[in-house]
Amino acid sequence: MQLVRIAYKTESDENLMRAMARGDKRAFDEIYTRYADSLKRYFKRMLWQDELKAEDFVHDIFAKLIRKPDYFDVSRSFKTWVFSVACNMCKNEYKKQSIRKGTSLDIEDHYSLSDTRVNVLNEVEMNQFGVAYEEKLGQLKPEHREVFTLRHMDGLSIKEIAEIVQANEGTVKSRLFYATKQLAEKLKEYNPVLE
Amino acid sequence: MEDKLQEILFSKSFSELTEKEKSSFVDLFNSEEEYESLQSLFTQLEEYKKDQPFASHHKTKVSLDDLFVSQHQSVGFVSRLFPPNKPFYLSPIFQLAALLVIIALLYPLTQNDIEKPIELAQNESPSTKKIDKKSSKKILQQKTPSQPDLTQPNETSSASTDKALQKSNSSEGLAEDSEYASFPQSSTVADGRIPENEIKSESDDRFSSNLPSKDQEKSTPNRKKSESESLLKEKLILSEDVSFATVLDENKVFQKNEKQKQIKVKSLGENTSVLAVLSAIY
Repeated sequence: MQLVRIAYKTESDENLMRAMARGDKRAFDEIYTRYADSLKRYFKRMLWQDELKAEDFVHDIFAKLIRKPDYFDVSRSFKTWVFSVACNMCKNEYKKQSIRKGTSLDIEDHYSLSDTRVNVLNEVEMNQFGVAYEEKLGQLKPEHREVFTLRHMDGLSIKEIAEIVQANEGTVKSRLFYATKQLAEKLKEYNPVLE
Repeated sequence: MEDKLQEILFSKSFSELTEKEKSSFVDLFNSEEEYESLQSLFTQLEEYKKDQPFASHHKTKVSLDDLFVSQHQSVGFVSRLFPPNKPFYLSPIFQLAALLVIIALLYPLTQNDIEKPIELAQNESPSTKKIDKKSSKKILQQKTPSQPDLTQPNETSSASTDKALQKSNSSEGLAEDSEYASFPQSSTVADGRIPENEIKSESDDRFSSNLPSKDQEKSTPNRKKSESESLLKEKLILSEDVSFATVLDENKVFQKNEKQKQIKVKSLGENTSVLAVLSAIY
């Protein structure tokens, strides 16, 4: 029984998850508000800019939270836990795609094929930084892309990223360094100073 | 390091960087062009993050809300008692049953037995007293009313002694009362026996009246012998009767004593001569 009223806006993710597991709808709403957009962005970047797929994945991950709230280990940070679940979902999707297309696990090849649709559709807007950024980001190795997105788009720390991707912090820093250097090189044409 | 890089990129130009800063990020940039490309990347990335156009699809949220409601509100009373996703030992009905069993087992232990009266062994129970009284009464009934029973061991002796006894009793007028009543209660000692000197004096008093005169004594020496035997026997009987006399009611004994004393006074006056003879014999 809840004795103290929850301040949903300021409550920690972990306490909101506990309340959600007890059937508190407002706790679920608050969790959704906090993470739905960032998860959708993450999925979109990781899944070849496919917005519908990203939306489906967001639905799936929250459906899992509703059905099996006990899966969440309250001793862990909810943010790292939910992104690690999202990361595993993406990896499973990569495997599925590789099996379907009969290609190897080299995701870069897959991206070059799938991104053509995006490129064609957004050809006019190529000069825009956002589109170029998403395109060049998709061309990175998945592990580099994942680390860069989590660090600079979702604002996670090196330690949190290391926990999500299940690698040590040195590896994460190394991946981040290569991703940053490659993106900087590829997007230098969009430098407003140079323009 | 990442935070420091961003801080430098957002605040300084390449010309403003110190040698130490340049050396620490030598892997990322070696020239001003590389530094500026990094600067543009992070600057535009920050703006891009602010201008994120899409939000989560509304249909997705509605679908998740429906799922949440169906997941948590479909739980009825029965499904609460028997939740399908939990093992049986975690179901509330099992836990409730276990609690009831524990209470049922512990309830007898909580009952306080101290309040009940304790039946302890008593040192002096009335039943034992009754037994003592009964046994003593029985003994008295057996012994007191029939004087001849007490003399049974001496039955083998001559019949003349019995006759003499009867004669002595009838002479004193105590046939209806027992002989031991003549002894005062105060004369008894703790073990129920009377000192021999008292017995002697009493017996002298009592039997002085039955003794024959001097001329009769001379004529009948055998009779004297028999009388002395009977007196000895009576002494023994009296000493035995003392133990029974202590048990009897004190008032009754006292009354009897008074009666005896009156009789004795009378008999003493009449038979002073007989007393003298008896004393000579003893």
